[in-house]
Amino acid sequence: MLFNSLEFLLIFLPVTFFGFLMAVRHSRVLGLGWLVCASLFFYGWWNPVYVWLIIGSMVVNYCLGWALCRQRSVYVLSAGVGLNLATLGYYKYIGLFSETLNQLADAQMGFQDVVLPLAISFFTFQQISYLVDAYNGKVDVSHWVEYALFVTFFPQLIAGPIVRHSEIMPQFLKGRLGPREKDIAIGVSVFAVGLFKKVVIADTLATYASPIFGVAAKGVEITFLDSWGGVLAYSLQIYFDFSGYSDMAIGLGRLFGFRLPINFFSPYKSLNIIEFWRRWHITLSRFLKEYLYYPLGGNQGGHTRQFASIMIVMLLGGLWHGAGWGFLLWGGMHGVFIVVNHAWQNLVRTMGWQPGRWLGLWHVLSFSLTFLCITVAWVLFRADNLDAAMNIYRGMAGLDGRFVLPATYENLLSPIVSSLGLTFVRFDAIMYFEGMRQVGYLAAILFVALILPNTQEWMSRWRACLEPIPIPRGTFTRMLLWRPSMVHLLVVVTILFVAASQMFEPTEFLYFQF
Amino acid sequence: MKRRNIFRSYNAVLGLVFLVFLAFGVSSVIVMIRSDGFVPIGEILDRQQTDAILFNSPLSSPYNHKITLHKKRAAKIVAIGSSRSMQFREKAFSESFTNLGGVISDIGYSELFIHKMIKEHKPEIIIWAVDYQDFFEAPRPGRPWRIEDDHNIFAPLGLAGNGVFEWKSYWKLLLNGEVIENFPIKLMGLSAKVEGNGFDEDGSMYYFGTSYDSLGEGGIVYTDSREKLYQSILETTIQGDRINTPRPWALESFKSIIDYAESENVIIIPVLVPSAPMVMEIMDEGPETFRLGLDQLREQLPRLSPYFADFVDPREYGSDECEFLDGYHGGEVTYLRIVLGLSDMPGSPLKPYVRRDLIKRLIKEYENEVQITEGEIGSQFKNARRIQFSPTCGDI
Repeated sequence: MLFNSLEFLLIFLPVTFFGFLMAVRHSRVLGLGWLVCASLFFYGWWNPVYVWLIIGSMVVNYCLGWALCRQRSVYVLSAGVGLNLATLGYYKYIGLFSETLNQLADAQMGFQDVVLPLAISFFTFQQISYLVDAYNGKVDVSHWVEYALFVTFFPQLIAGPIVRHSEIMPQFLKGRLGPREKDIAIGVSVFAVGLFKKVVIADTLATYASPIFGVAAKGVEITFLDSWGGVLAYSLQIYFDFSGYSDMAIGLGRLFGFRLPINFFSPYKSLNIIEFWRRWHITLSRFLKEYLYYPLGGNQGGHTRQFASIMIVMLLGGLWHGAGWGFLLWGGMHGVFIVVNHAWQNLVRTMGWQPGRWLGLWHVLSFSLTFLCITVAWVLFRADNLDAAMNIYRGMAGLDGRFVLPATYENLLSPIVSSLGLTFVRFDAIMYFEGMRQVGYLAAILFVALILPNTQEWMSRWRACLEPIPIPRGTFTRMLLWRPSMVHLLVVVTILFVAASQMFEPTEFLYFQF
Repeated sequence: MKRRNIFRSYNAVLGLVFLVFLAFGVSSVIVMIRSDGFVPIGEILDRQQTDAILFNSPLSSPYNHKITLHKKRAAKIVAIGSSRSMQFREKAFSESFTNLGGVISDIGYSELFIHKMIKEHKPEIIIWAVDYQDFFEAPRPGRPWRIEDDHNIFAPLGLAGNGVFEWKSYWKLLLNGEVIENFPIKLMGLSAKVEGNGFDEDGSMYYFGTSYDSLGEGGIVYTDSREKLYQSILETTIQGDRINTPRPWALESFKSIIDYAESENVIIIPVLVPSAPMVMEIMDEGPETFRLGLDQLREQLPRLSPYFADFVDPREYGSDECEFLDGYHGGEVTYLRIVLGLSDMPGSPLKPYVRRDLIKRLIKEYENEVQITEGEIGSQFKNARRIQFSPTCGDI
C-alpha cells in the first residue's frame, strides 16, 4: 500500500488512526498492539506471504536481544548478525550471485526468481542495530508488543528512517500515549508537504526521466540533450521522491504522537560529498558509520586505513540499495568521491589555503562540482543495467560525435559548436527533450530544492521530528516558517487539494525497491 | 488555552477537508458497484455467451479482459493490434476467431503482448493490425497495461479526475446507475456504460453508442474535419515532432515479432491498416514529407515478413469515406473488405477459413456504410443503419 494512494488515505489511515485512539484509551499495550496489527496488514497488502517472514524475523531477533540483555555474549551477537545478514543475502543477493556464477562458469544455478520481500533491507538493519545496542548494554529488555512496533511501525517500515531502539522506545513507554491536538496538526501539515513533493513534483519529473532510462535500456542511442535532460530530471526526481517519503513518514509518525528521526535534510545544498552523506538518508549513513565504519577502524588508523574503510563502507552501502553491479559501482563512485574529498581537505589544511574574499565564488564552485558528481553517479543507480548506463554516459559526453540541438538554436550556437569540432544534427533526432519548457521546469524545481527552507526547517519552531532543528536565519525565511495560523492552514489545505487532484494513478516511491 | 483552541480549529478544518475527500471516495465505490466493477471478468464473458451484452472494462484497459477471453475461447484465428483492429469480427470466419485488439498501441508493446498471448494459448493464425504511425515514434518504456487497476475502487474517480470521461457522466452513473437511458443493449463495465460502445463476445468492438447518441441528440459524429486531419498529419511528420523515416528500433522489433511467431509455429500476417480516404488525399496533396515515411515503410515491411498485407489506402480496394468511423478507424465494412482481400492474397493461409459468400453479400448490402445492422447486436440498431460519420461522406 502506498502513502500516496487513495486506499491508504481514505481507508487504512483513518481506520488505523481512530482505532488507535480508541484502543489507547483502554490500555497502552492495546494501543501499541493495534498499531502492530495495522502495520502488519499494511505490510501484507503487498504480499501476505511475507508477513510470516517479518514475524519470524522479529521473534528470532527479540529472543536474541533478550538473551543479550541478560548476558553479554559475542557468540549470540555473531549468530544474530549472521542470521540477519544471511536472510538478507538470500533474498536480496542470491539472484545476482547465481546469475553471475551461471554466466562465468556456464552453470545452471537456480534462484533467479527469488522475490525480494518489501522493506527487508530496512527491518534487517534496524534489528541488527538493536542486537549490537543490546550487546553494548544500550537497550533494556522491552515488552514484545513494543519490540514488534519498533520493527513494524508502518510510517517507517518500508523505506526508513532506520530507527534506533533507544530513540523510539522511550516514546512507547511515556505516560500518556496517543496524539495531542498539536501532534495532529503538525503531523498532517508535514504529511501534506511530503505528499505534494511526491505526487506533484517527483511524479512530474519522472515523466522527463523515465523515458530516457527506458529507451537507454533498449539500446536506443541517446542524444546529448535527451540524456542530460533525463539525468537532471532523475536527479531531482529521486530528491523529491525520497524527501517526500521522509516527510510523509515523519508526518505520519507525529500524527500518532511519535517523533521519528530526521532522514533527509536538503542534501543538494551540500558543498561537498561528505556533507551530502550527512544530509541524504541520514539514518542509513549513521548505521553504516557506527556499525561498519568505526569497527573497521574509522579515521583512527591513518589515511590508508581510513580510505580503505570508506571504500568498503560505500561499496557495501551501494550494494545495500540493490543487488546489481550498477549499485555496487554507484557506491564505489561515491566512495572515491569521499576519499578525494578527504584528501583535498587534508591538503587544504596542510597548505593552509583560505578562500578569503573569494568565499562566495568558492561556494558556487563547490556546490556545482558536488551536484555534478552526485547527478552523474545517479545514472548508475537508476539505469536498468550497465549497458544502459554506458549508453546514457555516451550521450551525456556527446561521444557519438553528434551535438544534437533543436534547429531553432542552430544559428545562435553554431559558431561555438563548430569551433569545438562538433556538428549539429536535425531536431528530429531528439526524442524527448522539450526545450525551454523542460529547462524552465527543472530550474524552478532546483530553486525550490536549493533556496527554500526544507520541511523540517519550515517546522523548526514546532519540531516535527526527533531532533531539534535550528531555526533558519533571515527575516523572509522566518516569515515562511509554519505556525498554527489560518494562513498556514490555507497553504496546507491548498497543497492537499492540489496533491489530491494529481494522485489518481499512484506511483511507487523509488526507495520502496530497496 | 488559546493555543489549544487554535490547534482545535486547525484540526477541525483539516477534518472537514478529509470528509470532502472521503465523500468522493465513497462515491467512487458506488460508481464502481453500479458499473459492474466487482463482477469477475470470467462471469461477464460467460454471460455474453447467452445474452446480448456489450462490455468494456471498468478502466478501458482491456488487457485482462482480452487475455481471459483468449484463454477461454482458445480460437484458431486471432486478431491483435490497437483500436484499429477491433472491427475484425467472428462472422467473417468459418473457424473460431477472437479479437484481442485494443490492448497494444506501439510496436514494443506488440512484442510484449504477443509473447504473453502465445504463452496462454497458441493460435494457428494471428492477424496483426499494424499502425504505420508507430514506426515513427520513440519507443515507450515501461509496462503498457495496469492489471491491478481493474480492482482499484477509486478508479472511476481517477478517470473522471483525469478527464477520461465527464463529471456529468460520473454523477449520472452515481445517481441513476446509467449514463445513456433506454439503450437497446445491456451495457456492462464503466467504459461501456459511459460511452455506449463495447466489446461483443468475440472481442470485437461495437460503436453503436456513437450512433445512438447521434440519433438521439445529434451529438457525436465524425469529428475529423479536413483542417483537423491536415493539422494532425502536419504534427506527425517532419514538420512536427516526429521523423519521416521509419525508426530502426521499430523495424527491428517488427522483425523480432515475426521471427518469434515463426519459432512458435504460428502464422502471423501483419496488416497495414487503413486511414480514411480523406487522410490519404491530404497526404497526396500536401508536401512531399507527408507521404515520405509511409511510402518507405510500405516498401520495407514486405521484406521483413513472409506474409504481409498492405491495406493502408482504402481507395485501392473500394472503401470510401462513408465506411470510416473517423480519419484513422475503418468501420465494419472496410474490415470485411480487408478480410476478403487477405483471403485473395496468393498462397493466403486464411483462404480456407474465410466466409467469402457472406462477406460479399454484406459488402454489397452495406456498401458506403459504417456499421452492419444485422445479427444479435446490430439488429437492435436498425435505425442507425444510414448513419454517416464523415461530414464529407458522399462528396468524395
